[in-house]
Amino acid sequence: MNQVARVAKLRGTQPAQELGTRGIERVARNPDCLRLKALTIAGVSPAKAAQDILHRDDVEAQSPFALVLDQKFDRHVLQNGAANLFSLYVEKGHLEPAESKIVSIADFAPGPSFAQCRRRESETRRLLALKLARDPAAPNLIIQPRLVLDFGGVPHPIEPDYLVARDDEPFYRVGVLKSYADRGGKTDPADLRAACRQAAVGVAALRQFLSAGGADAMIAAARCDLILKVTGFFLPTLQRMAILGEVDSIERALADAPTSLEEIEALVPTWGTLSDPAVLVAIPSRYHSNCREHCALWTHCREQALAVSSPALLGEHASEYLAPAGSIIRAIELMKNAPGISPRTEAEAIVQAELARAYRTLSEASNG
Amino acid sequence: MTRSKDQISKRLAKVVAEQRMLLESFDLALADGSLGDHRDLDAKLERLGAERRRLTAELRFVEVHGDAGAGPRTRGGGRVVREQVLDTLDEIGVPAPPALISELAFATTGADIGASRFSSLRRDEERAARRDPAARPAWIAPALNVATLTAMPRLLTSSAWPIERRLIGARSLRVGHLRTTLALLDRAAHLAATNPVRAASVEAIMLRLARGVPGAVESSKPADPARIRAALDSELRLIEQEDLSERLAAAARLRGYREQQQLWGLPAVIDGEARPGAAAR
Repeated sequence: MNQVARVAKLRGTQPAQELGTRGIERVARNPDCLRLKALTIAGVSPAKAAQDILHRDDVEAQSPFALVLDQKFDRHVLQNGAANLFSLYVEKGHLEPAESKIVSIADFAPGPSFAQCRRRESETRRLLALKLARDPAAPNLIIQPRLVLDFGGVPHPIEPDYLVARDDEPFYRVGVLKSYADRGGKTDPADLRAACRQAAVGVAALRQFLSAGGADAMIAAARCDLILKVTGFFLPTLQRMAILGEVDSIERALADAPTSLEEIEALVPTWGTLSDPAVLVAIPSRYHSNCREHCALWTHCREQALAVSSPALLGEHASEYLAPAGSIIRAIELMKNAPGISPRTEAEAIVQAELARAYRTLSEASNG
Repeated sequence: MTRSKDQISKRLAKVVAEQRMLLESFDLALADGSLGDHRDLDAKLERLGAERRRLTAELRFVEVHGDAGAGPRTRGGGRVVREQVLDTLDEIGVPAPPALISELAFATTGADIGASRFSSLRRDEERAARRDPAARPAWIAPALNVATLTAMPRLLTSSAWPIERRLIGARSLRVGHLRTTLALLDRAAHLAATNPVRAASVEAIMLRLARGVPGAVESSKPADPARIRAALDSELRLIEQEDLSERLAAAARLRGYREQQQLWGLPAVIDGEARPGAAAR
């Protein structure tokens, strides 16, 4: 059975989806969650899994207002040969006026059909190869390139917003467009981190392209350009960012097990598929308090965490602190020194001592 | 202009008479064995056949909807959409995306051509042109990429343009943007005296495009056409010659292919599926 057929078998009745940079970035936010990894590698979004496999009706969709704003801003910056984007780069001094070689990959084959997608991948590879060969015709701006990222032994197409390079630079850097208002130091750091992680997925894909061609992968530097919006206007702003940590976290998530399709297949019984709710919920997940920000399965995972009284429900710090106890109920029993309860390990004994001290202090403070 | 039933009938009668005359010549040539010397007869008959089919459809439409109604594939103004698109393209003079053509057609003539209609329009054009390239003086054709000589369906051109004008090189998107802005600057100035309402619409689009040119528009100051023109000219001087040279070289290569390939481009070759350069000449 070829790889496409194996992934299709794993997916079951679910149609294949392209999860893009957001999908890969989501895995890097919670690299220990095997359920999320399995779904991503099989090409099923958590939202689709929550709705169609687990039949949950509490899935939160992205705000249509934010979606429209995003699309409008992207169009504004990238339309007419990305004139506004190029102008911004020239004004900031990052490109010379003569460095105006601009290619929009979608011009070659717009549309979602298999042949059109393959054509865009092929054109992107051709243009990247030009830059690698230091061809003077290599574009300075490539709008919506289509790169392929190998994740879990399966190719995942991603379409970063754009790639940019001066003529004298060895390779491209990734650019990300976000319709968040640029408030300087007051811009929401969570928004910035998410944008940088998405750019990092693009860097990882460029590095894989370079490695596959025998070139030095490090010429795709861990840097990105972030385009935000002037508050109240549709004017773009540009920030150059170092994304070393983000690229590391993406590459770690890609390198962590499961690294091959076989490992994912091993999580699923031979008779089952990910479209079977019983199979899906049996794959271990790792609930975090921040899962709500990016994963539509968070309500289901939280219910599972509640059922086993997982310390993860109390947040990251408590989760780590109470890890030796294993559950909140056990931690409470240890804290109250319940009859018949004694620490099973040395680590649990330390947790018990600290919890008991804190409990005494709390009782004294509240009861006088 | 929408033609009346009488006008269409007269034109149809003329076309049928010409067809009859050509068929007689065909018959004679067949009889005296000189058909080989009259190779153009087939093409002429094909063209007249296409014209007859189009006029018959138009006549049927007018019979059902009356003379005043818009014809098939027409808008409020009465002109066929494809003509409207070709006029707009001629006005800009460079390959343009459907969204811009649609916006400009509305601003300059009030023609409401939805950008979503362009893909079917382009398919119809290609089908008709492959049947009989001589049936119409110009077709709406895709721009072609200089490196691969393949179609870039999101950028439209007129087949009546010289080949090099239908090609997209490394700098052509930028040159196209500058040329479009320049064309609209001229059009807005021209309309200012004759139709101030349309002039304002065209100027609004021109200003939006001009904001994508460094130094053309100063923020919080009224737009200065002279400043915009200077910025456009100065950037064009930097890149236009190089762009033209690249397109001329590709045009010379494209001339080596068949007429249909010159118009619609070579088939796209995807990596690993065929050898590069294997397209049939």
